[in-house]
Amino acid sequence: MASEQTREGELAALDSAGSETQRKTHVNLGQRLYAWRAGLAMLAGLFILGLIPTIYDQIFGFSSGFQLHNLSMIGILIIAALAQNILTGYAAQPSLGNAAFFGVSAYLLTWLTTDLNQPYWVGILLAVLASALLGVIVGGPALRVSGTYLAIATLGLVTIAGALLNLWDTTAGRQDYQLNNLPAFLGDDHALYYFVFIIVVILIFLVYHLLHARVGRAWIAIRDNETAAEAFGINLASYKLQAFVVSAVLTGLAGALYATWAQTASSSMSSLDQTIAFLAMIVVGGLGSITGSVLGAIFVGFIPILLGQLPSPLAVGSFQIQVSILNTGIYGLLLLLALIFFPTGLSSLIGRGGNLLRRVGKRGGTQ
Amino acid sequence: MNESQKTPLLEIRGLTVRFGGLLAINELDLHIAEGEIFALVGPNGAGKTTVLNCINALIKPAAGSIQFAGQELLKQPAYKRAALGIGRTFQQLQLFTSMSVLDNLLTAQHAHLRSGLLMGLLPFGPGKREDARARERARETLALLGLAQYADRPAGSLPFGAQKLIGVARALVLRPRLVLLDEPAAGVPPQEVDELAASLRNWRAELGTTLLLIEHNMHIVQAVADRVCVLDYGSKLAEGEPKAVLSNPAVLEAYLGREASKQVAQAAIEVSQGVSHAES
Repeated sequence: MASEQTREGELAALDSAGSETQRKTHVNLGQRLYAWRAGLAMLAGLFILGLIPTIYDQIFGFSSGFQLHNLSMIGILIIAALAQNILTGYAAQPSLGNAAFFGVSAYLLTWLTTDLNQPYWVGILLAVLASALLGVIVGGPALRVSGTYLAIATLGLVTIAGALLNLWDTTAGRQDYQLNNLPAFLGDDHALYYFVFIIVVILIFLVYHLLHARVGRAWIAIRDNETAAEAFGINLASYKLQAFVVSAVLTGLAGALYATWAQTASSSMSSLDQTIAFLAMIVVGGLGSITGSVLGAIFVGFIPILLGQLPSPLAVGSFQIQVSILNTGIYGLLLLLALIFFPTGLSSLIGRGGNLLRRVGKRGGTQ
Repeated sequence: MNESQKTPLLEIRGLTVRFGGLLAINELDLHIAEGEIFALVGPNGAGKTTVLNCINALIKPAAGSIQFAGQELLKQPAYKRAALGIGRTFQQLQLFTSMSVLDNLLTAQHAHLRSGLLMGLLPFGPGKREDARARERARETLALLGLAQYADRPAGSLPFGAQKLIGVARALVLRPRLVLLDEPAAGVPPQEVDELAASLRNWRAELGTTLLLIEHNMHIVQAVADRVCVLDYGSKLAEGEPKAVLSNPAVLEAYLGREASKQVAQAAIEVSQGVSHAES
């Protein structure tokens, strides 16, 4: 408040001066807005995020096919995309194992709350802790190999975890693994939306700081140049493992939230399809970029929603196509197109937009 | 100067490196005193960079010992050696190209900073304070090398000469006791070589840094080095004061072959005299 008042005071004082000063004020304001662009964009983003449920109620009502519920799912995907991007886009480890943590964490939460009657919060905490522990156990040996070998080994992990979870379902004789004992408020789409997005905003904030701190710099150094990183005192094995564990924790949280969202856990969460979806998010959005993770998750998250609008099965001529199987095909196609035409991802578009703004701003300043 | 008689900062004994069947370094002994500028020269493939890589643990020698300030380096893992006070530049630069120049210098201070995962998550606290101090040191070092204007530019986008100096800044930012310079003059335009030689002496004077440099440019070697060691096929061919060593017939022969060496010997002596005139 106080600073706003002084600013207005300044402006008033400048207004009373000559026209030349007035133009200067204009430039100063523009420059100030430019300097605060990150903060302003953040505020605007938070405001819109907060308003979305209200807008949704106004426009669609509860009968609409477009569901707020699906937006919550995109929030969950943002967490998973951040996780994959930290590991692959920042620390440059092409690990495909995140889907395993996604699935295992969802099953753990469901098992703890449904079968063992533990409170939901205990369940989610233990699921995330277990993901961290699994991250250490798996990451240690996995990170001894690199490049393609790491990708293949971790993909094996996903398949094994998926098969084991499926086996558990079969031996327990259940069709789907229902998540019971949810706190009542999470059954409401509005509350779930706010719950998920508060977590997303906090995580983005924390991850942003982590990536700009000593640990994040070490990850980027490993990506840019392992030799120099080691010569300047970065313990490669330790920092790769830290990236793996942070990624596992975030993915585990995303998996638990996904089970909360779907109110069920399914072995398809630890599958090749899920892995491709995670990869598509960071490649389409932009490797090594937080904005890219968010944009990629939105982009990839909307595809099943849009496809859901199509009638299923879809009749093309004499063919009957199950719409749900189109998803992975489209992710794969997106992945391919992004790698060929857009290797820096959607986030670079924003960077280009920013450069354009800066150029326009500079031109304004020199006039 | 009697640097060799002081207690050595770096003491290499019986260093042997094999690449498969190739003997890259054979029983090499080197003693480098604190505050000395020591040049390692020799034809391509003589094993000069291999010596630096052994000090940095990028290569594991087959035998030998490397003592640094009384500690056995070969027992330390690679990532601990920077913390002991060893900086390094690379022939191929090896900058963190996607980072800003300032972040390159922050990353180079990794060994002296403490904040870990949990501290890194916070927007305040000791981690941020320590980063602020590191940023200050980075800016000082950039200013010392006249690179302040590049601080916020991505390192990979700069011209080669600037990147080269940023590599040096990155090596010096921790104020290491020993800096390993791999061909600092390679790719530097001839008219700037004298300037580089002056800077090398300045860094030693201002920062008290011991320099171990690999260099092909004999003009620089003669101008700055206190002592020179010539390597050929992984063995020490000659060692001592630059003028004496570089006019040694065996050295010239290793570089140029028997016939050419005779013709150049005279010229080399003239060059060295020229340098000593320029110095006085």
